[in-house]
Amino acid sequence: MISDRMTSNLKQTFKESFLPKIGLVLLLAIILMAIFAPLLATHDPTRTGHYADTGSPYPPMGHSYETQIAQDGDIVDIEVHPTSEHILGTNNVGQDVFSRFVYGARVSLLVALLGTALALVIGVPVGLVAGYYGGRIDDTLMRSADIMLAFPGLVLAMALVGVFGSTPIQVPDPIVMAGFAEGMPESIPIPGSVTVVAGLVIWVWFARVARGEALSLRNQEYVKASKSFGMPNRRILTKHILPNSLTPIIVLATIQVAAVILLEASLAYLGFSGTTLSWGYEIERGQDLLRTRPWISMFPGVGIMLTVIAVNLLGDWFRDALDPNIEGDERGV
Amino acid sequence: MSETILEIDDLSTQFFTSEGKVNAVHGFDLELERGEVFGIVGESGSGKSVTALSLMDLVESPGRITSGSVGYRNPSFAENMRTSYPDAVDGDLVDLRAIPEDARRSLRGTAFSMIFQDPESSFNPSLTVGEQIAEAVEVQQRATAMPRSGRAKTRGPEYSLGSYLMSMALPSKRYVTESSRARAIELLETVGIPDPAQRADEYPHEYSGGMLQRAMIAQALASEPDVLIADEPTTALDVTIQAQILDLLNELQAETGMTILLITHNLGVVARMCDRVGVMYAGEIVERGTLEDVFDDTVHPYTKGLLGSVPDLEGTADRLQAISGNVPSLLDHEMGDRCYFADRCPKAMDTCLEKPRSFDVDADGRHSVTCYLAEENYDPDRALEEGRFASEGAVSDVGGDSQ
Amino acid sequence: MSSDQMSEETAEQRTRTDQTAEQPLVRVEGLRKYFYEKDSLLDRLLGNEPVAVRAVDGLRFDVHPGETLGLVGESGCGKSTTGETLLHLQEPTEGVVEFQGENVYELEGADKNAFRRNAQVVFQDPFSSLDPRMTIGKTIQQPLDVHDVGTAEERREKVQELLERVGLSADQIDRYPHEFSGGQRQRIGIARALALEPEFVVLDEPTSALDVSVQAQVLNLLEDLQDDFGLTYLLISHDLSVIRHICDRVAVMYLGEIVEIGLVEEIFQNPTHPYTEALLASVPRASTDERDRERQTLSGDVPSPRDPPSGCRFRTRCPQVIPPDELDLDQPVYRDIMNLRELVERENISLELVSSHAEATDEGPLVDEAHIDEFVEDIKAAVLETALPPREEAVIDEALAHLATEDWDGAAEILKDRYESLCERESPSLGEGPHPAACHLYNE
Repeated sequence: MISDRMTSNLKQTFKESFLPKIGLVLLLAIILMAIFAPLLATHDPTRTGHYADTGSPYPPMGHSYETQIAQDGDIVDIEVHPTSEHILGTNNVGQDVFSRFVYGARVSLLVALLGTALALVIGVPVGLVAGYYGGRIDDTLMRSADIMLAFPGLVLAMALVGVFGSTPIQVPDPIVMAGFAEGMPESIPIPGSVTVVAGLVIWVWFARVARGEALSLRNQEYVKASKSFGMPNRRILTKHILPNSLTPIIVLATIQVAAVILLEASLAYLGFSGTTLSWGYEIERGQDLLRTRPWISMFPGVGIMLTVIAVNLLGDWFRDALDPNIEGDERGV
Repeated sequence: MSETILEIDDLSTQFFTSEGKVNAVHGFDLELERGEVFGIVGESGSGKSVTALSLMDLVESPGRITSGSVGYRNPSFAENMRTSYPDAVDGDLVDLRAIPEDARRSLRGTAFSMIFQDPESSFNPSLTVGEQIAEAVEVQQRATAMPRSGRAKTRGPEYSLGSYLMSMALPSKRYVTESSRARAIELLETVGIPDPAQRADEYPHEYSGGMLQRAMIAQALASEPDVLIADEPTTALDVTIQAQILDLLNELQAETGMTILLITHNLGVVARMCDRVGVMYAGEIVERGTLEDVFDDTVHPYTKGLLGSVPDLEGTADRLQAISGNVPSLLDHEMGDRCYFADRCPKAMDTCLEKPRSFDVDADGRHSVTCYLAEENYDPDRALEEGRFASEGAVSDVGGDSQ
Repeated sequence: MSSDQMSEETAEQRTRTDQTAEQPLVRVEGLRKYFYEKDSLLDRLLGNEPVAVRAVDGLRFDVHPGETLGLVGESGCGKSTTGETLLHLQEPTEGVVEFQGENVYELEGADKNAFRRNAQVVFQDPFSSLDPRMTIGKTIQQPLDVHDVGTAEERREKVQELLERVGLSADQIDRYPHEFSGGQRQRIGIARALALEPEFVVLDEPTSALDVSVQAQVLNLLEDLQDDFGLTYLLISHDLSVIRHICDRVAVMYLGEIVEIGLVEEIFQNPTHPYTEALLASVPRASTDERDRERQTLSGDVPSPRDPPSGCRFRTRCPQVIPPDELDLDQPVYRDIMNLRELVERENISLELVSSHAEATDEGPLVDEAHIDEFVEDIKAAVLETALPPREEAVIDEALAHLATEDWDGAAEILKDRYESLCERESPSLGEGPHPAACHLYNE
């Protein structure tokens, strides 16, 4: 599907332009950070601080966070400004923001990549088949897709999480198990149902784009020519239609990666995610304190932004390199 | 020779692409006489459409007119320009390249109008045809309302943001005045649209291709232009509709006496319409003269090849005389300084490695050819060996020809 | 399969062709292809009637082995749809296409495969006819892959051979389509069509996207290939000079029907159908005599295939409509009256705009009784182009007066009674013989 020329084009555009390099470096950095989170984290991301008088991470009855902070001294490890101990400060229950940032990358990335991949796997074939065959098949497939579109994404996601349950899958952390990182949590909660739900919510977009592409490609004369010498439909779909519709699908995928990160964030905030260790959750948590303690949600926000930028830069690179009409180095016959 | 209305001298338009400079038009000379129909004929990539855009000053980035002058003869316009830009005016002739852009723009649509190949994409699908023609009328009226400054006054109450928003909010409050609408209907009638009052209120998709082409002509006529530039006006149409449109153009030309610059690839259309013809190849006119000169006393091998390529509707089914090879690259660094046709020319000789100038074929100077064959006879001993040029078979789709 | 075997097979095909020389290679009988608009699930739920677009409406013709049959007509006449339906790239609505005596639409399995090998197509657009993501070698090789011809090496050899044959060089095999010019791409498309050594090739506007000089190259190539491989062509084109140059016989199509079919020389020299005549006259000749050539242009546009005219489909534009026997009218006047009838029947005159005496009100007649005469004059001035003889004027005045009360049917009825032509009552049939034409003038 990806031919030699495309790989050489990918290499060449990568060499020639600066932006894909940034994108690749950024994304690699984020992925590495997620993988080696236990080694990078300075504190156990789940360990909370506590109020000196009550021993609880939550303020005593009748006190807002703000007043409590004003009464300094009563608080241990709660909402600390960045210090040498907590380089990015702590959040409102005293968890280390930097450690949570590092760990949060794991959940956010995993959900985003797997969710988008799932949506691709469902949406692209459905869309291609609908667009290529048309008629009743198209009607049936796309009307069911429309029904999914009729619900707001978040509402649909909440309903689906309700169906699948929100208990996260506890995956043991190999780095911690191997003893490289003392004092870090031994397993990480991966919100499996949220991943599936994200895929189920956004596959429709892939189906629509793929259908549109197939619809115009099936009238291309090379497709007709293939039919004329008896190429089976399934082979036309994989040989001609799929490769030629990849470009907009890849671009859409990069956008959807970002959308899934945000969807997970919303679900986490509403308590539907099952995990409390993701960028999205941190952003939502810090929202109320944005004015006084901006670091709580700022760093996870920056994380999401950088991921989205990185993925988009790579998407642009793919789009440019894979466009067959942009000439490569073989010009001049 | 009757009076010239346009004197184009050494006009060059280049496109600056990542591959290098593309010479879409270079060293283009043309004198257009008032009231004639001049045909520019050439294949795709020959630069004929860019020539039209250059005359209209509509060349878009990365293209730019890099040299040359376009002289336009109009006593009253020359009078207006004389005080502000004395250098640009020579008698009645104004060099349009030497006056500022807004003064030049005032001529667009009043002195020059253009009709395009694809009528469907030349109309906004969300406005009625009548409205769009009335708009042209409106613009033209404003342009002529203040001729002294030579500046089109396109600002007026109807053009204010407020009235625009009003027109969006209240469909009944249209953008144009009643008088320009009446004129639009009149124009539609002139170009032979039946029931023009009703058709004016229809949208472009309700028109057929031929009807839309008529409407586009109506729009171009809104300003009673001196020169109508028609860029492939019938290429998108069926032959029976093409015949209608050509007849219409002929009638309108006879009625108004306007000058038509007809750009086409169709030699039949040229033969039907034109008094004089220029054959374009690789950005320059290689042969020009009256229709009879060019079609019957052909000198340039390219013109001969072109005429030989057209299958004859009446004649016998002989083998066609195809021109071998493809249109050459127009990249500046690949063009070199030779006859650009030499690598496809069946009669290329060693002299052709040097660029030929324009030779007069006969004494009155009306038939000229950019080819050494005008001066000397073909000598097979001096023929260039085949495959002499490395660019043979090169991809040739680089030209800025926007067809 | 080696190239030797391949050429043996060609020889075998040839002998088969010789044996069947008497019967046509392709026989088309009653072919119809309608497209349906407003036919989606939603439209069904809403109870919308599907609208039939009659792209191809009852074709009958034969293609004989070794000949080139031209199919000519203006855009929208259904010629390309004919080509695609004939190759079963589209499902026919009705009709039979026989290839070597077998109905193409009923072929299954191995027979279908054989048909797919034997009948190929070359398309118009050199840019969309090649997959931009495939090397031209792979593109040409595809048919061989699909039908499992020879080993991988033999296929590649065959592709190189084909490239050379169509005038490209074999070492360009690994290049991509965007590196070629339009003419070269068209050559590649031709090579692909020839890969399986077919007997029959549909050429769908093979040169209309090319410049004339390149068109001449491609036409010459097509002629050479036909001679070398004994090919049978169906050439679809709107360009009459191309048809004239390359075809043996030609069928002229108008609005989904064949109006005339016969030998090229006969049709071009003695067109019998008024449409063919007008079509030929419309083409501007590339010669200096062109300016003085007298020709009659057709008026109006091609009607929509959604609602084609009754009777003869060409009658709305025909310069030779047959008036009723009892009328003695000049053709321009009759044409004018027929146009008026058309407008009245389609209720296509905007009365308020045409006449200042017409005023739209909720109740009552459109025009004041006192002003009916002026109203009728206004309509006539707006619609008619010729002066009418007094007798006809009276009839038409009477008819148009009905419009004062917006009684379109009444007006149409009066006009129909007097002016209905044979051409609208009866659809002329395409007769038998070597040069039939579907026209009442000709059949009489």
